[in-house]
Amino acid sequence: MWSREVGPYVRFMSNSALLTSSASASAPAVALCDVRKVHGRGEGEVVALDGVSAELSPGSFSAIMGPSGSGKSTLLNIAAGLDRPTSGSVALRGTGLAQLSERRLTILRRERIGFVFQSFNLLPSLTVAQNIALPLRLDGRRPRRSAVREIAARVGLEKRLHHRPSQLSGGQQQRVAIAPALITRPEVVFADEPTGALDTQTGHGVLCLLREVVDEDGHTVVMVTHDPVAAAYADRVILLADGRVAGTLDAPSADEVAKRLARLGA
Amino acid sequence: MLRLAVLSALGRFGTFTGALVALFAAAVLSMGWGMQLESVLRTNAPVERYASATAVVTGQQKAALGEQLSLAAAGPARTVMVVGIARPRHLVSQQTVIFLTDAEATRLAGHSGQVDAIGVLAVPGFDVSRLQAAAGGAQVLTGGARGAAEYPELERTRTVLIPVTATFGGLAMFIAMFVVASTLGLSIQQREREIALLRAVAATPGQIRRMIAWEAAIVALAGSAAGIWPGIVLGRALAHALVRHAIAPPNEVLNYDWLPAAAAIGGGVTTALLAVLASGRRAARVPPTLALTDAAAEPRLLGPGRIVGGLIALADAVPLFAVSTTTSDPQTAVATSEINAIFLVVAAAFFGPIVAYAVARLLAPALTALSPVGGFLAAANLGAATRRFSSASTPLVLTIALSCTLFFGSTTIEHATSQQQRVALTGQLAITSAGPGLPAAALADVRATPGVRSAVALTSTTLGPSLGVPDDTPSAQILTGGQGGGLDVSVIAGSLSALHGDAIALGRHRADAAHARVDDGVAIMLGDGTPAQATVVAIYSRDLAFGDALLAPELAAGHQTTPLLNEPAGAGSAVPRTPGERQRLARHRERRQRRAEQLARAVLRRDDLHLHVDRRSQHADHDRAPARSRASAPAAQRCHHAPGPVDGALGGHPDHHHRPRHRAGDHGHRAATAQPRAHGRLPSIRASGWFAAILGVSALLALVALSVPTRRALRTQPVEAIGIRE
Repeated sequence: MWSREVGPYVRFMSNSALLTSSASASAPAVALCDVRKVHGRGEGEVVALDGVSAELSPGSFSAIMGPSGSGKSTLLNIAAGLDRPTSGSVALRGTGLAQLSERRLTILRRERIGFVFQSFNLLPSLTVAQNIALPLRLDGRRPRRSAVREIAARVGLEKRLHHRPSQLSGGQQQRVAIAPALITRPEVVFADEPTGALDTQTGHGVLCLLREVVDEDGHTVVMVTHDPVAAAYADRVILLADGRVAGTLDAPSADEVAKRLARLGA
Repeated sequence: MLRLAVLSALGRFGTFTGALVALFAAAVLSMGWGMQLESVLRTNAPVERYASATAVVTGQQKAALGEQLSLAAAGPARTVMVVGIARPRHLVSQQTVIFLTDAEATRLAGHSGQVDAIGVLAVPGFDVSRLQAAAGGAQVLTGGARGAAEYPELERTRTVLIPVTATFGGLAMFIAMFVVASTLGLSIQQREREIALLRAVAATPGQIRRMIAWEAAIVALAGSAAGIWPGIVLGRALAHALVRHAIAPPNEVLNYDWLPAAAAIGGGVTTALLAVLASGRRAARVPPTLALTDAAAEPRLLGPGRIVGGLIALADAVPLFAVSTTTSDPQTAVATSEINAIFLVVAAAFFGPIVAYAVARLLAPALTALSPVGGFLAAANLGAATRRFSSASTPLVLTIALSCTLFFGSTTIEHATSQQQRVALTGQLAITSAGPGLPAAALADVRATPGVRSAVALTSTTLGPSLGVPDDTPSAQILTGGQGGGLDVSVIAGSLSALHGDAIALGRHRADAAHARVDDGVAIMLGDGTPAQATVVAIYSRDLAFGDALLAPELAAGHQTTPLLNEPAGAGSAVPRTPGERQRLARHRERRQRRAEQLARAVLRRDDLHLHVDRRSQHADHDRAPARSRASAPAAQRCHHAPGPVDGALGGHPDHHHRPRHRAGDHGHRAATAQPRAHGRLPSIRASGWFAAILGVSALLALVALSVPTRRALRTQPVEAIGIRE
């Protein structure tokens, strides 16, 4: 019922996003080429990704889906430069990540990538405002108060700036968790199960925020989710199974996604 | 990063309590001892007697404290007539000055034909270097340094205080380093996810390392700064104690600046920074993906760093262990075993996870049987989180190991020393003084007392650096009447009956070190710095009790630091030989004590002497010796029978504790004590009690340290704990 209500909205938004992405002629926002990732060694060896290739165009909203253990979180980590592939290459707007040192990679993450994590992952010792400004602070920049306030207003928490995360509800925490990902105005925002711990109402708010990031700011969003309803907010769904790309869906509806997932055995 | 570190440190101050307390304690100790050190280094002895002299030429490095006491030195106290009272032009506050005729002064000083110091009055513009040239080997002291001629003991205090301060400060910092490394390491393990998040949000590894370093520095600053004021209080108390135990001269005044405080804080911060070097590196290596996944299993039991560090520490400990178990020199054994303990503790810290794992596996069945739920979970936790467990247990291991080594090392030496003393002093009665010593004439008085078969007198002194000791002062005793009864030094070569003229008897270890045998001539430096040649007449084995050398009275005459007999005149009267006789004597302790009292009265038949007779049982007498030495361990090691005040009961007032204290200007021996001595079963060292105490206190500390965070943890509602991950 909830999905039917928002369906047209999603479609409308995704159409406009597709237009934006087709209008851009530059290098893909994220390019993965034959990425393999093996965890562990010897007998405990687990192949998480087995030759994944994908290109995500700038200003698009992609969802990565698949059954548990299909490698979707690993793919996100590698695409975001948090983890390095065993083989294959990753490029962000044409910048190869493999040859960057840990420090350079960190700085690239800081300047060009934003993160929204599965569990709210805020620093408990910092206030909301300090958490939001953290990426700037780590970059040695003094965060402007107005910028923090503006971002906080976008996630609807301008009145909670001086609270600590433990004083907020789960939904509020997740909305705060999106804010730091936006303050540096990153090229790509990666989100790992951003609605995993939220009720449908709050989840809807968060997904709308991510949609806005694409439509209004022109950023690229990559989201891992197992929820077909959440995936329906994306322009494109990449389905993973056993570490391989099992198919893609453009401008998906929640029903379609659910059907395809069921076929994959999710 | 500083701001983040401050916020992080403030937000979780509870986590840092352990580090904070350790750094606080280290700062208190460093401050307290640092004050003593700075005082002795800065203080020039006050110039009083020589205040009018431009320069002082001293030919001797050691002069006696308060020579005015020597009025009663060479014989019975004399009645002197006061013919004038001097009002000094310069303030004389630390001592009493008595003016005597030259002849009388020379006689009382006991150094025939020698003077300690020459005061020089010079005309304006006098060139001191000319004096230097004329003085030969003597020191020329000018300005504030002139005080050194009046208070040569300051120099001795320096040599004692520097290593003591270094030891206390160093050990405190060392322990603090362990505790800080453990607690901060623990806190880093606890918030690996948070660090991963920071890494993911884009903190570089260097930024993480700096954050950890700043955290440590902030905690160290807070802890050390809090320790400064208590450190000053401790320093004042220490200064009093050092004077009371005669380690520092009575005129010692605390004279300190900001330096000890700066050293304590700087040392604390440096210690903390060193301690988190490893933790910071580990934190910087936390993979950013950890923030996205659920907590990973603990890393492998031992990383390469721990293996290498542990093996190095063990490799250092093994040869030290070999030395400490095979050496025949007790001081070497104690020193090496202490360093050995430190290396072993370091090894235990490196191998901590393995130790923790083994302990967890060993204790698991017992814990589960004892408490099916709590015990089972505890055992499972200990087995899985071995790194965390070892972080918590390492400071405890350190505490127990170091306190046991330091404490039992000295009690073992004390025990061996007092055992040797008891076996060696075969005399039935010992007369000691509660003041600086007995007059030399007392020995003759004892010998003349009816019923006394024989008596010997011992005077503690030190030799200058000689006899194979390049920079130390061997302890020695001047033995008068050595061939008589009452003393058994366990001669292994030669004979004490030849201890006359230029004769010397050497302790076994000293003889070994100097490569000296009986009838060899050896070069020695007497207590006042005079070089001399002596002939070795005997080598003895009880050198713990008697020091490194026994000197013939003629050899030391005029060269010892004080002409007083400051050691027990072992008066051997009817030495009991058979067990039956001993028992009989024990049964008639009362009677013997009365006799001791009579003897002491007979010896000290002077009105100006108060008589103290130790009325306590032999056991009390035996037990007291280690207690007294413990209180003043650093100085007492040099001088095993330092004539300390005796906590005895005054005759007729058994419960009146009286500490006769020497005051400048008094006749030296205000009190003399006759202590009955007897052979008996040696009371065993009461180590087990102390061991239990150390274990008990450590366990108590651990319980307190655990219960605080446990209570805090339990205050968290389960719902909150599930909602927020930290």
